[in-house]
Amino acid sequence: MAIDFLLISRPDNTGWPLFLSQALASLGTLEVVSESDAARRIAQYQCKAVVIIDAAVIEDVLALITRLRRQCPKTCIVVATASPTWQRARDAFQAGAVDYIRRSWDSKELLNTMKEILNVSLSQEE
Amino acid sequence: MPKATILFADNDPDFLKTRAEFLEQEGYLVIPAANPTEARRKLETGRIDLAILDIRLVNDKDDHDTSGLTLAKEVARTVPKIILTGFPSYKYVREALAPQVDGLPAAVDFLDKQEGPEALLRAIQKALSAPRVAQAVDIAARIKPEEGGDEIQALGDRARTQRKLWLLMGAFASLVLAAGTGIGAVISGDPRLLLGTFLLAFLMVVCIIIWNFME
Repeated sequence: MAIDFLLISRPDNTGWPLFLSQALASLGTLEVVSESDAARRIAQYQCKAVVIIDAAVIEDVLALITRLRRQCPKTCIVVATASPTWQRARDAFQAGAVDYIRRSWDSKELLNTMKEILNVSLSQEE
Repeated sequence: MPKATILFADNDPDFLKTRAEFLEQEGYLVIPAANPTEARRKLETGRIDLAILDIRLVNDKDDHDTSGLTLAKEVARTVPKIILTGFPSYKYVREALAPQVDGLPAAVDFLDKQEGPEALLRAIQKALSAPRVAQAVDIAARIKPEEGGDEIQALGDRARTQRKLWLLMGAFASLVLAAGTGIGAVISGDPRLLLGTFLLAFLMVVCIIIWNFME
């Protein structure tokens, strides 16, 4: 079994997305999509992919979460940011994100954080 | 008649008094709590519509004190809670607002004390009007059968294994106690001990049956 991850970022942004892809390799595969292409790709995954929003390159994160939440009410949406603040974290959760994480360069930290998020979601399914 | 009953937990008596007076003027019944023990007791026993919890309920100077968050996670899970703190951080927000294993976040809102009483009032009105529904995330459906996903399966199995272990320990404890009371009943001939033996044996059987169904 494997998880499909969709990272909404700039497709030419090869730094952190590539790192994230490698960090999450043991859990599944990660595809990078642009904001404009996100809705179509999420629909192709039938709302079953875990969506990660790269806040560093998205202009209006809250509007994007709201749009995605409307498109797929149950999709797991995670916001990743290089400069987390408590206000933006609160806004993201209230818009419908299930987590708000630091855009870490520590692969172990990223993997553990994602496992925690998936663990919570899996527990709900039981 | 008050609009709602609100438990307000804060270890700063002046802040607690000021905010309680403000909320009472707005028509709410405020039940104060000055420490985690008092807040826990009132949350567990009282009819509380909403709880407002400070994060550092023991010592404001101790950044390891997250007793308010612990309360929010552990006690009266169906009561909506607002976390109110003088030391906001995104990590605290994550702990407060990210869904827990039951699908509900520990709190429905998170406020900085510096945001003032009007922001608190708005948060209360919003919390009381919103349905407390678990945010079900359809994770199982997003798992596709492929090779090499053992870790995911292991994550899902962990919670079930823990529950099964508890049931097994319960059955074993019941067996030991039933044996003890049984021996006591035979020696003393006391019918109450005999009844206790039967009840414990019954409990053991119930644990085993539930354990079996979880296979």
